[in-house]
Amino acid sequence: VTFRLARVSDAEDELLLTVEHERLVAPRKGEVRWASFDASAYSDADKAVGIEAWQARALTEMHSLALFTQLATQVQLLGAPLDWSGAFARINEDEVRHVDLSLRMSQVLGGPATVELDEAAFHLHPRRGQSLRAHVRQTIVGAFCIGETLSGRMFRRALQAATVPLARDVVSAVLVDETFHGEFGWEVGALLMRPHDGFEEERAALAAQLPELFAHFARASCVTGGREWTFAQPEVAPGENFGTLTDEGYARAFFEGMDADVVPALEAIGLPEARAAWDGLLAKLG
Amino acid sequence: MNPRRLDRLKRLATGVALAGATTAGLSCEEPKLINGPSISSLAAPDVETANGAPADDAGTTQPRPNHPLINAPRRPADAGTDAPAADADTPAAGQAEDTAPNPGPPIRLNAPPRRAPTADAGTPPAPAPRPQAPLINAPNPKLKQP
Repeated sequence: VTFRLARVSDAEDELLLTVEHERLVAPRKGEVRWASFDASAYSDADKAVGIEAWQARALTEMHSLALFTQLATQVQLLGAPLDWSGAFARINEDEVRHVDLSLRMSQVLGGPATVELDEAAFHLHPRRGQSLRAHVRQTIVGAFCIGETLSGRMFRRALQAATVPLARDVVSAVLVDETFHGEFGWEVGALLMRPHDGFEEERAALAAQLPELFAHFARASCVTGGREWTFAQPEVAPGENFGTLTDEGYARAFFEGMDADVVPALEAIGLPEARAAWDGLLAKLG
Repeated sequence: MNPRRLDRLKRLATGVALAGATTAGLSCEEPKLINGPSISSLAAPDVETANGAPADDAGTTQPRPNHPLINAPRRPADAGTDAPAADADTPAAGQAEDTAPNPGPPIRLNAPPRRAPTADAGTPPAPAPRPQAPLINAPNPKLKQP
């Protein structure tokens, strides 16, 4: 089933739900100067790059929203302390903001204010035979500890690359949130690694999945070559920049983030196999 | 990630009390269902296919009680504070699935008409081999799928 996600509901009357949504998606810090943006000041080619990037972000942020919303319920079923639910409430609010900001960026650049979604691509069902706790742990490690950490790094680089004031506003708003998400992920990931009956079996299964997880994130980060080759490529395309990196720029952030943050922190929370998994991927990439 | 943050993660993971930490962590004991099995023993819930039909072996999962959970995680003793250390490059800016019957596809106000059924629409597709795909804000959606 596919559907087209719109920012707001289509109704003749002003809806309270829309009013509340607009209030919620305002940046936590600073503002986004939508009104002062003049699209005619930029080339069609530069805007096309921006539209493609922000459409892609709208898609991935919507996937994150769906996954994190489900996780918020699952941690409640595990008996997590209430502060987990509180933090997840913020995270889901943030993801709504990111989808909204991405769609608006696409729109002001002349692209669609909607994004096409495929229900099958949400991947919300736990692996068959896996306990809920193991599923939550694996998802936290994958989507937060790795995914949000890398994402934060990419947005940090994108902020440095952005030359268009509006894009800087939007990337800044996202980056504020992503920084918290990464931090949250490591805290919760560490807490989920406290031993319990049957833990070692679950831990070992997760560790065995790390090579696959790392390879997945390499693909998702546009990694097509080894570290040296990647770092020799331009990180940013010439021209006005709407908060985007080249493919190699995203790949570079992947290498940097894995080296500096992900692998050491996975080791710290009790997954020492992360080092060998990372070395193995580096050897394959050359 | 600086050594202080890594050390903090190690302590979190090993259950050493963090003074003042609000997230003392999950109990080492799973919450139990009233008159029911532990959550983890429920294994994975039924996997549904994209068209809402149950997968072939969905009936192999254990029946689930409809009782509420006892929300009684036990917290280890904790006290004190260890403020998280910020990385130098960190900006200052700062369901086991539900036990209720499946209500069917979600309501989508902006949903286009569903696809016309294909010739083999009566055969539910197999569950995806990797139900959980980590997500990342990478630039090319074509690269999202593992």
